[in-house]
Amino acid sequence: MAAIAQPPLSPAIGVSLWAMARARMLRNRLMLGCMAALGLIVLASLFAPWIAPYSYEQIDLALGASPPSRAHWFGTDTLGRDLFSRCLYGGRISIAVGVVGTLVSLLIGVLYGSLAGYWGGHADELMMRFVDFLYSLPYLFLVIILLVFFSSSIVMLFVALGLVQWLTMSRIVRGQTLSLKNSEFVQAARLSGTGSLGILFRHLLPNMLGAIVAYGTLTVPQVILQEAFLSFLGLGVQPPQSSWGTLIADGAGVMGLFPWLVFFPAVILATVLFSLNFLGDGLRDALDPRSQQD
Amino acid sequence: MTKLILRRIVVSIPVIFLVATTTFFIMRLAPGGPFLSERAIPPEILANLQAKYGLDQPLWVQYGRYLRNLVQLDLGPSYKYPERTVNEIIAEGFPVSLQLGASALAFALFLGIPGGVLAAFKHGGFIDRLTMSVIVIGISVPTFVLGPLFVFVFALTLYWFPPALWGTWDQMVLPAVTLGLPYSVYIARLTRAEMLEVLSQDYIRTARAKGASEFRILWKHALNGAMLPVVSFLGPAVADITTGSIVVEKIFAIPGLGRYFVESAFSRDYTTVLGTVVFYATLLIVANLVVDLAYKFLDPRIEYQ
Repeated sequence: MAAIAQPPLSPAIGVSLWAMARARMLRNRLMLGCMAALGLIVLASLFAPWIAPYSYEQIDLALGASPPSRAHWFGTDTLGRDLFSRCLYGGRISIAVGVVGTLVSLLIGVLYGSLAGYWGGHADELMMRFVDFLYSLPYLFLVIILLVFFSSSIVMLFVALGLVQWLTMSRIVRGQTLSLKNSEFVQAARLSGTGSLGILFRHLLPNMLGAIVAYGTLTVPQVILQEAFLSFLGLGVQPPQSSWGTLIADGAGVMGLFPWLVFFPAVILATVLFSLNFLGDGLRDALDPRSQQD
Repeated sequence: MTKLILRRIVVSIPVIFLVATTTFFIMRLAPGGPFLSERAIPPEILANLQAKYGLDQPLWVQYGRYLRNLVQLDLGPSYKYPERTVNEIIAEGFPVSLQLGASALAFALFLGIPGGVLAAFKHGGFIDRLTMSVIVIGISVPTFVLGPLFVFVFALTLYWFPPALWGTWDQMVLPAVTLGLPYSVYIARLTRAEMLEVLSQDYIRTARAKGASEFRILWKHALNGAMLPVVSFLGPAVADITTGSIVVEKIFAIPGLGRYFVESAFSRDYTTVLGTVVFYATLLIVANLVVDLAYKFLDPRIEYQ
């Protein structure tokens, strides 16, 4: 039976076994590379106080903006501060904002979405209409208003960015809940007397952990990017502290004179964003049985 | 169709009301005010100013008056520029932002759709790989890096385009490309994925069997089917472009509405902030409605009850 020739696939999408294998290998190698780069940057930022050769606020006006050298690997900014150290300390803040913002969005999105999906009916309809309504708002405008009018502290930043990001998460979780809640293992749990909360937290949520983790991985770079966007407008982290966003914003202004000031933070940010996006996509594909490998 | 539009308009009114209310109270609950600058104003003058704009009255009176004016489409005077009304500021800034957003979107569509179609047609080939590499750049290099980079390369080094300002067509190129490039990337990705799926469907095989040319199959039969997700992406894209426009307007010193909004937020110009937010909310609702109608037009199978 196995020897029966398959009808040839249409030439536009036909991919040989070897091409597919090569693509997968490359994908895996790229994935390993992404994980390595991401791990390196995260660890270096986390241990910044021990690794950074200088303090992030140590000013050396006599030095001024100097190009990369042995003493200052990434050069120094216009105030003579060591850019390498500032990138490391900036990474701490950017990563913290990304992770905490994502956690806030997870907390709200998972709770909201699972409840909407679990209750179903009119409650679900109403709750999802509310999400649709929020989707249609100029959201970042409200974040800007929040940050301007209530001091742009880091806590406010966490909250504001988390508040923007939970919508998509709630839709995903709701969809998963709807598709899972009538399955046999949930019926079995209900028959054995498990309460609503038990079913939700013990049975439904663990089963959609994959989707939540995958989408969470994709949320982190979005939050980091939005922090950078707000920093560019002067609403993010306040000096002398830095994030990758503020470093890029500062460097972009003097790009013609001191190109290294925008180059290094931009490369780091791009690497992190790309790695997280790539890993998240990979996780989502791997966890979604319907997705086609290409 | 008319019923659908009417229903959507009726639903939109409470949404706009809610946006106006939320924004109003967020601003008023926050400390500070439009006239509390570092430069101390004598208390009598401050009292006069506040009386002039009605800021000395109870909050609910101010709120009621604001809503009454809003219904009459009067957004009030600007606190920052006393000689101008918010309506005038929007009338001045929005056409510029609209030009920028529309040219960015046009650029994104003209680059993204053919890119995606060609990538799908030569699946795995050079254009496919090129598109995928541009996608990588598009998702990992933010606008505020791309913009200064373009200025540095194309304006300050090669002298091809002016580095800033707005008006002539050559001033429009760099900002529109900066704003549009990330969307062209998403559109290319969407088009490619959808084309790959559509090309394997029965009606494409039917078209082939009836002897339609490969060109016609690709650009007529398949593309029509593949456009649906792109159209539905345009709704959120309009919202994104309005916020992205803030950054691009700042980089290229373009006098658009996005810049007015940020400036007025920083100077606590209550009326301008409120007016801009309400205006943008209305704009997004209209944009979403247009997208939904286009969707229905493209895919007659979709029914709105």
